[in-house]
Amino acid sequence: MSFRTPSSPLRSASGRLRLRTQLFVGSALLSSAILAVAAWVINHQVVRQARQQVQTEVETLLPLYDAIWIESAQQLATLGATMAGSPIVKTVFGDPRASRDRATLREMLSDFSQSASTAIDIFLITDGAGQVTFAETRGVPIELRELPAARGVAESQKQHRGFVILGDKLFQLVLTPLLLHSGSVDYHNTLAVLGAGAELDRKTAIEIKRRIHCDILFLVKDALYASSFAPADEAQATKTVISSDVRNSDPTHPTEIRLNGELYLAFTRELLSSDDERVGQVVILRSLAEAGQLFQAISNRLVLLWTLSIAAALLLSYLIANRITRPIDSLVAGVEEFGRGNYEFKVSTDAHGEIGALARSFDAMRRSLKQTQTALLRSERLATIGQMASSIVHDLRNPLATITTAAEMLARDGIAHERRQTLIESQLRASDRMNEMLRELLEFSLGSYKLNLGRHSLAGIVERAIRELKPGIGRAGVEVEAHVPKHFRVQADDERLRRVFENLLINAAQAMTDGGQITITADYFQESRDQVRVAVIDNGPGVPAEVRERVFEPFVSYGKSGGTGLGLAIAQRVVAAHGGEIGLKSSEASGSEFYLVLPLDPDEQGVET
Amino acid sequence: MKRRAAGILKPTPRRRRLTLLLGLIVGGGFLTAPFLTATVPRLVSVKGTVELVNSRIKTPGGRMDASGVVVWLKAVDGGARNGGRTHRTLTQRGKRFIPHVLPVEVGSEVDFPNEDPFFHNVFSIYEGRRFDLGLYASGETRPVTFNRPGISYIFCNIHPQMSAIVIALETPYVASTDQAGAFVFNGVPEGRYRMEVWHERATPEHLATLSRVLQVGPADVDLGSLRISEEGYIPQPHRNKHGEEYDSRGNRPAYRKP
Repeated sequence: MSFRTPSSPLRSASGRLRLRTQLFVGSALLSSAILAVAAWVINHQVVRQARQQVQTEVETLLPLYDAIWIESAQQLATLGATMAGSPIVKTVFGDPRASRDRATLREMLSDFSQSASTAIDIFLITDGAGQVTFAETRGVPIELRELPAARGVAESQKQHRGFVILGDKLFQLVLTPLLLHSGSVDYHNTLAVLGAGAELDRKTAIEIKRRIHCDILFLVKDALYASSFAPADEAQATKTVISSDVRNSDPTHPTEIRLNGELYLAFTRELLSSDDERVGQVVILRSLAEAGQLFQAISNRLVLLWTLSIAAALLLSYLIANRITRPIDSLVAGVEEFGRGNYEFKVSTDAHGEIGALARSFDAMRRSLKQTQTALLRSERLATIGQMASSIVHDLRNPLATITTAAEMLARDGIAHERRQTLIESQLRASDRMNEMLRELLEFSLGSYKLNLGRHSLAGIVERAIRELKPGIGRAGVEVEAHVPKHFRVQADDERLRRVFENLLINAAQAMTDGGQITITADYFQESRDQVRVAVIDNGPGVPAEVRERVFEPFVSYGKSGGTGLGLAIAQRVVAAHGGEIGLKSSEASGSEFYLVLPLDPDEQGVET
Repeated sequence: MKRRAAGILKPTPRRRRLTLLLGLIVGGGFLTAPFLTATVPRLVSVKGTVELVNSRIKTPGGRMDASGVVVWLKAVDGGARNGGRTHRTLTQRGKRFIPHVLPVEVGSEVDFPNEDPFFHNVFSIYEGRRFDLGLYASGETRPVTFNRPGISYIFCNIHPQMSAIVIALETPYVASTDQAGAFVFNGVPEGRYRMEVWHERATPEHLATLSRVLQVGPADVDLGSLRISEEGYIPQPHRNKHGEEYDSRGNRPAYRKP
């Protein structure tokens, strides 16, 4: 009544761990995945948002940037107009000596410069033909002969504004014609052209940066002129900008560029002369560092969140393990114990939910089975006792009847000597038979077998069994043929093993009431050379179907009369005691095959003799 | 001349009566002169201090700059009026006229040397002597003779911050104050004098009230402290020699703070 539990994946420690690990890894992976997706989405969104924001800023910034130059040009133009309209200037220029006196001009211009709202880095004066008569930057004369643009100003008699390189410096310059009223209202003579300008130096770049929050690079002829960068970063920034395609980018579509490890949106504006010729370029760089910092802050929070969720997953899987795997483990242990035939092992039923219900119903089943088992065992035992008793009674009655009848006949007078002899012999046979039956009964009831082991030839044991039985079975018309190779040797109690074979032979012979053939063969069992399989094959009527399953149970007999029904039961125990196995392979109308599997003597196995 | 003087000394009814009285005295004097001139008039010194009050201009040290106040004594009897022609100098240096206030006797010649490295154009179109010296270069000088009494406001046509005042007076007894406000006349003949005061930042009405006749001699005279109030003084921008504003836009101050 034992059944085996197939090895379950929950059985091993690693299997149990695996479930917990699975729960943990699963929830950790899930939360990581969710957070990773969230981080990606946020990053994407933040970067997009930041870029959008900067883009919008840049769009609003461009007019602001342009306004800076317009404003400074306006200031220069206002100053120019003030000077051109000033009676002082007209007085000076009206005098041929004073208008050529450098000190007087310088003093006059410095007066205007002081009152101007913007710093004037360059003053210059040309005549109507563009010949420079005075040029100073911050009070220092510069070498300048001709300014072609001034000729245009003199001719058009209008202010011109634009960027210009004078000497080796870059200026924003406004040229103003100084007109002398002539007799006619409509006609003026151009006395001179006044130029006032501001240099595009580092200070200018920093001032623009202050106003539009962008770094500025002034480039002249593909080389740095000035910038708002720290002097240490300036050269590298210039190099990067010049080697990039920033300078060809559309101002409304800034290019992304990495400078000194920082990300920028960059675009370029031209610096044009009054004739709309390119004098230089301004690269405007908007840092994306703020967006980067924002993302950094968010990702820091995400990492924290991730850590927390991993911790939560750990806790959760621990709780799940407690709530699910532990009751399952207990249930599994219960099932395993149950499988081993232990009906006493009580499964813990304090779990909640489905697992608890399962454990409770399993426990109910266990209790019910235990009761059934107990009842079954009792009734089986009673049945066995009854069967045994009736079998013993029946088996003993026949020889007893023989003895009684023979004794009655012997008691009569006048019995012939031969007749008397026959009766006495039959009495002796009957008592032998009873003796044998009692011995078997005793042997079975003792239950234990003390084997008297020795090394024996399997063939020898089989031959002795055949020789012992030959007279009896020969009479019944049964022939025995043994094909047992002589090299099979076994560690065995030869007497008991011989009796097993005798039992098998007797069973076979008794089954074949009309005579027949018994064949004994032996060979290695399943190719392994450490076991031998011996088959006892007859061509009798076979074992009746209803007892086939039970032939090795005690007091089960078939096809013969006068047996205790213990022969095969004893044989099974003896073989088992030898570490072997006995079984009924097949039983049909054409015959039966009993087999024995016995371990070979380890010293002799595989040795051909 | 009367018109100019009226600008400074407004005639009042009291003053007219005083003039009449003085006329009588002067007439009497002429009659008695042959007898009086027998003795040489004694020369004395007259000193005093000017104190400026209600001023809105302070020097950097917090002390009042009381310089440039002109005090003169004019003999009531009209005698001793000719101290002789003098030669004075009003220098242009560092875009300033030095001194800022120059009192001279009528008929004096004043030189205007240009000691700046650049051109100047000295002119006067206000009251007093009207002249325009034109643009002249560094190291050059131009003279102007002030042969009429009156106050001449002098400017530079290309440096609006420059200004000077030349006061031409018909008396040799002229003093101007130092920074502390002290003034002194030396060698003033004994006699009766009308003392008059002129200050750039005081109204003519106020200055007229300070005028008085005083007896000089026989001992030295200490006039004590003269309090001049600057109340009511409003600085007026000046125009250039063409009568235009210096800056056509009018956004430049006419005067630079010194």
